[in-house]
Amino acid sequence: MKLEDIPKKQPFQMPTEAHFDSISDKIYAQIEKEEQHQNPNKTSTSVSIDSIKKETKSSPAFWKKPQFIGIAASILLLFVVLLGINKYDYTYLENITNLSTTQKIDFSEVSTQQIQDFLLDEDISESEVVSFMPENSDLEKTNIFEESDLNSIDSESLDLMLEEEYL
Amino acid sequence: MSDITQSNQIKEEQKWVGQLQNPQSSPKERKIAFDGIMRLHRQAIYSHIKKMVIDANDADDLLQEVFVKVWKNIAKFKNEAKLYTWIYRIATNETLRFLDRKKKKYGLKMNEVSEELMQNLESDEQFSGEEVQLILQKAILTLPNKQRLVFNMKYFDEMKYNEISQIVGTSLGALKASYHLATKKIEAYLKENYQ
Repeated sequence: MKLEDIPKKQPFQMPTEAHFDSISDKIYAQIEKEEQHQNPNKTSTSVSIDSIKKETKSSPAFWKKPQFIGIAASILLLFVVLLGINKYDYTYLENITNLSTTQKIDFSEVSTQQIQDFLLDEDISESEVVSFMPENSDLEKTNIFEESDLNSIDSESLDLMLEEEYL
Repeated sequence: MSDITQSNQIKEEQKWVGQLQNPQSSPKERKIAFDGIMRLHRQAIYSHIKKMVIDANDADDLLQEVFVKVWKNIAKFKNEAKLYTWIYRIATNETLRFLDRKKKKYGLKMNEVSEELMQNLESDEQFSGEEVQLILQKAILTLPNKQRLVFNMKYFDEMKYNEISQIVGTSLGALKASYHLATKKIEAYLKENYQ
């Protein structure tokens, strides 16, 4: 049997117009749903096709874009750093350096009474004071050591000292 | 269809496409334009899909998918091709993809797919043929999907080879060979199964 022997006709009956209209409704519903999904903030309209109009995506102003904000922040930070370096007061550093390297404490300017008070309060032995004494110090020349001669200590204090020493 | 009617239809269609592609068009104009295009092509596209998938519900779903795609992509349509060729192409791709998905989903072999389609055909209320038509459809269902597609477009829809070529993206020579081979297979099937 040849194909030509068979009467040619469409094998399926076409559905009714109402059936196609119901499919059209589904099409519009799907379009609306998808567009809602894409633009959730958009208010829905009765006809989804309304939204086919390609909304020109309201892109934020360039200065609101994260890239721009990042670059601006970096430049600002760099500017602040450069300004800080430029304006930094080096005199303070110089003062500290000078103080630590060149300046030495002149114990001669410290009153004897102050030193005595210090020694009494802090319970520091003479040898310790001497060991802390800076080089070239003229502390030894002061009369504090002369005054601390055992001869100048009264017998009662000396007894007390010896007693404490051998306890 | 007379030449004048066809010419008017083409002009009308071009106007609708223009309205859909123009961002200045109002929503109402767009709806009217899209409705016009759907009404003009939905039956032919439905028939094209139905012959491939047989099941009426599948055909409805695919028709829906096709026109949603048309709506989404109408801005990309260039007037170099005819609109119905473009819509046919979308429908063809969607249908082939659907059949492929179905085949993979159920792990069916080609003959199993054919058998399932034949069962659907026998129970289909929309099928309007006599016994010989049923045998013919069964014969067509034994063909591979693409060959079946080409045969349907050439035999039932009486499309020209160059139109089919634009839709399926195959050379004219390959199409002619495919149709010839399909015809031979169908005639062999008819000889075997019909007195």
